Amino acid sequence: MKHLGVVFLINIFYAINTFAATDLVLWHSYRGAEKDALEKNIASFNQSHSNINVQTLQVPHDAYPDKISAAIPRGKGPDIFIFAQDRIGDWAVNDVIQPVGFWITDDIRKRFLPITLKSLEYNGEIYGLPTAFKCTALFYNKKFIKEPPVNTDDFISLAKANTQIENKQFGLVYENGLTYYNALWFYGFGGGFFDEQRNPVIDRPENIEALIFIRDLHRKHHILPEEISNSLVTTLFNDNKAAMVISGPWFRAEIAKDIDYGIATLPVISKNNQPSKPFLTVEAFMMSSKTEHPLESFEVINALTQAPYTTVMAIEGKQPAANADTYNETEVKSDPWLEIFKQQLDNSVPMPNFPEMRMIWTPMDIAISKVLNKNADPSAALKEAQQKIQENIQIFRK
Amino acid sequence: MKKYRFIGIFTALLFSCTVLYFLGIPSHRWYATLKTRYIARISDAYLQSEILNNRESKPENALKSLQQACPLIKTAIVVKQNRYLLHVNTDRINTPFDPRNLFDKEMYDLLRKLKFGYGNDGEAFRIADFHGNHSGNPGYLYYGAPLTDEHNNPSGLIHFIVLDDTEPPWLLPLAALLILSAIGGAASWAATKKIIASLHFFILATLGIWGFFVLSPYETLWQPDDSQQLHRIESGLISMVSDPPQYQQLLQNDSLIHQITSDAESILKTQPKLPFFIRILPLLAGVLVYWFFYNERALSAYRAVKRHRTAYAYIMPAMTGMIILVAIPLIYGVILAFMQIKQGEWTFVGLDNFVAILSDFSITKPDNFYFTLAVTVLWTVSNVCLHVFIGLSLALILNRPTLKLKRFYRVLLILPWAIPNYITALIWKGMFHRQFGAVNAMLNALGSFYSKSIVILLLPMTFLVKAMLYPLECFYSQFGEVNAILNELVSYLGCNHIGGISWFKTFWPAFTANLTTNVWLGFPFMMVVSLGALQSIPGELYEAASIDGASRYQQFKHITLPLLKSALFPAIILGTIWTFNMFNIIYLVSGGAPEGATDILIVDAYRWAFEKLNYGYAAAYSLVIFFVLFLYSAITNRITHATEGAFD
Repeated sequence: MKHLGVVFLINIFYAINTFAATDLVLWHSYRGAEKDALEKNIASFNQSHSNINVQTLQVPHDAYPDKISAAIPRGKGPDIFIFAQDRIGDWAVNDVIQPVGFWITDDIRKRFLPITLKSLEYNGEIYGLPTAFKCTALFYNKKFIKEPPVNTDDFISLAKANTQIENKQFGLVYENGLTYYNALWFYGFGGGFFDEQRNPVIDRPENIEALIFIRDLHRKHHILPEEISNSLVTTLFNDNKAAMVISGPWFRAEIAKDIDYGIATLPVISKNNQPSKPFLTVEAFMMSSKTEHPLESFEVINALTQAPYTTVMAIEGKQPAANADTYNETEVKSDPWLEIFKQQLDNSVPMPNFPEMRMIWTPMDIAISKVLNKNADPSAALKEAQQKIQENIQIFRK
Repeated sequence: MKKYRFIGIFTALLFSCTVLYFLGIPSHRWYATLKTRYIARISDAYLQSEILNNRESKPENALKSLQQACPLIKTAIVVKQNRYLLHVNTDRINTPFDPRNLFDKEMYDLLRKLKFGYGNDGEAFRIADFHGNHSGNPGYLYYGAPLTDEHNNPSGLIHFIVLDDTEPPWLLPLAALLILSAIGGAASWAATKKIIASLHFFILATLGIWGFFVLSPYETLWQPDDSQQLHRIESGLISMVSDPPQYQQLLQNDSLIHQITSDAESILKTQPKLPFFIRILPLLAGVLVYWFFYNERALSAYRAVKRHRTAYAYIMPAMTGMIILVAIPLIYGVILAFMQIKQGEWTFVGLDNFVAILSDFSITKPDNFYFTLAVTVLWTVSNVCLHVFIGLSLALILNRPTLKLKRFYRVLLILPWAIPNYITALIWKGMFHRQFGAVNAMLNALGSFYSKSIVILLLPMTFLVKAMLYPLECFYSQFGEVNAILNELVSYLGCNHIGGISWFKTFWPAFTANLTTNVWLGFPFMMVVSLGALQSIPGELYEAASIDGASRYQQFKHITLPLLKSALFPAIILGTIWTFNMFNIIYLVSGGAPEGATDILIVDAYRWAFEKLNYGYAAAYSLVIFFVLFLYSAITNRITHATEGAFD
């Protein structure tokens, strides 16, 4: 009986010990190297923090945002999750995520590249801590291109020189039917999609100018293939059939091993001597508004956005880090492309995080495809898109 | 036995009313929030000006004058930017700020929200939910507002604790009813029928009275217009604060603030009244339930359930699954169709969504309902015709007894059906690529002469329909480029065209691409159904017919077709409904190109929900689709008697 008592006590001891650690659930949609790096980080975090036990769950990317929107309000979601900033507005007004500004001291604020933290702001409040950012840059095949182009004139002439349509070889391949990949031209020409009051300004003259430029790339200079899709970009680049590609850091994992390629910042627009500015998406740790352990959750995201975790994400996960100090580490310095993305970051525009942004995509894609494929008048196409978007936003706001 | 049932019903009613009540509580809290919100805002404007304009003035003094202006305020807390918290009330002064204090975080977040709530745009601000009840003191609400400096940077924070005494006396009727039900149970156990009857009446009456109380939390939901009233006060206040002379006046005039405060309060105190018929809903529900359970038919159903208890127990798990997975989402969708959801808030809009869908007659636009309906009908009819034609032809061929390698062909022909349709869709999309796709490559390889005939073979239906719809095409801008594809063909046949046919540039090629993919996917089903039915036709019939001298065609027309009918009609109805809602193919192959013209109804519904974020509208859209299909199957059922055997 004595033994039984001891066993009982030990059991209680263990039970208390296990109960003492707070279980937190973290959702993410990373795959491959990014996933491995994150899981390595979580494992080492759990080891060094006896009071917190983080469990990760990888959710397929397509269903991910909808799953967050559906699960958290019903109390079934994660405590912490990683997502890009573009849904913040939606989630903030629907009380899916909670602001963390209360805890953000100046020390924490200084840790990040300023624009990455700024893009997590919605209605003046910060909704998460940034971990990585993604924006497009110029990938070029060194077999064709020795020196990356500085301005768009060089860019076009280089692309022209490397295009042989009979051989199905192209100077430039990017998904030119999509607004996301064309944003760099719109912003580069000085345009944009919204004014200060979040009203769409699609048909402004700068945008028309940019759309003419986009059309000319395809229809006047003939440097692009037809009907470009994501898989076509990868296939052509890996078959040595594309000299230049505009894509983001994720493209790096898709490039075949035998391709000798380089990365450069996007060219300056020759016409107005302004840099072209791609969309910036910032991936951040966000906290569920329904989490029962906000303090512990913040402790986790606070820790994971600092060294050494950020270094692991940058080196092993190949992510451009949002933590500014990461770029001073020798390991990171040895990988020059991270620096390129950091440079590109300075010339990028954070994708608006208010819900109205989601009304832009389809009408805008339609306008672009009309101009590219049906030779529609750019200003008329944008005017139509403006009208459509305004209508949709009005219905949405009503 | 009757008395038990009676007690059961009564308890169930009581229970559901209680649940209803507790569901209603959050909205009640919300109402209280609104009330305090205005007090807090007024005070904020005051306190803010006091601190900003008089730097020496201490928050304690500010609070003092604030309390004079608004006696409901018991305490205020100020957080300066250096993150030290000053809690101004009798028991807690100069307490340091604690970053681990979650209640303070909640206040901070709320106040930051509030600050942006009354921003420059003057748009009304709403709070999704209120979490103020952290103190453990029921009946108290906490509220406040942030402070800003002259550059509009947050410099601090105040919050107020305001007494809230609007809890309804809900326990009393509940307790009374519990006692009554106990008495009722005892009485009906012993007494004669007369007493039971009077007791029924009594309890119904009590239920009705209690309903008045139970539903009171729903009042704020019922009259959302009171927020407009609030908005009026709010905008008045904002203009006062933003207008410098009035602002100064506000500063100097305590009584003015007091007046505003009491004005706001008096408006807020006039509680919205719930319509009478809503209030007596519990009573009506009670009467309905009584009527239902004393109804002879219901009683016999009840007895049947009781008799076959084991059988019902067996189907319970399946029933539960069906209710959770099918019935609840369905009901949810129907409710959604009558709502408008904006920023997480549901508003009942009646039939507005349906009216918006059905009354829009700009039918030349590709996202118009009628345009999409026409495309959907065209899509469904052409698909089903081709499915049946190809499926039946192949079945007839496979059914020939002399055919060699029959099994091999059969497997081969069912294969398209066996592959997940989104994979097929993506493969076909790749094959229709202009520069790199297999279709154009094949046409190229065949050379100009053959390609001419192949193209013409590929698009016969297209041209046929085009010819029929020519007058329409002149009208619709989408089809306006009548000659686009012909031009394309001509330049293509000239063989110097780099790209080949651009499949997704104009309507008809895109439609043809979708159609080809779905025909590839759809004919095996019809083939299998026809094959099964063909095999059940006895050979003697054909034998007898051929002895009578019937030709092959006559045999087909008078024996095969009539006997296939019973199997084929349900398959066609099913196939029609599937094709009508064939989301994957449209979304993945053409993706609506060009400009959403090839979208069918279900894809449009998806776009309304998940691209345009208009959930109510999308739900109404799906409901309209449902009714179209319902109408279709009801009519076809009546005409063909297709499912007659199944339901009799």
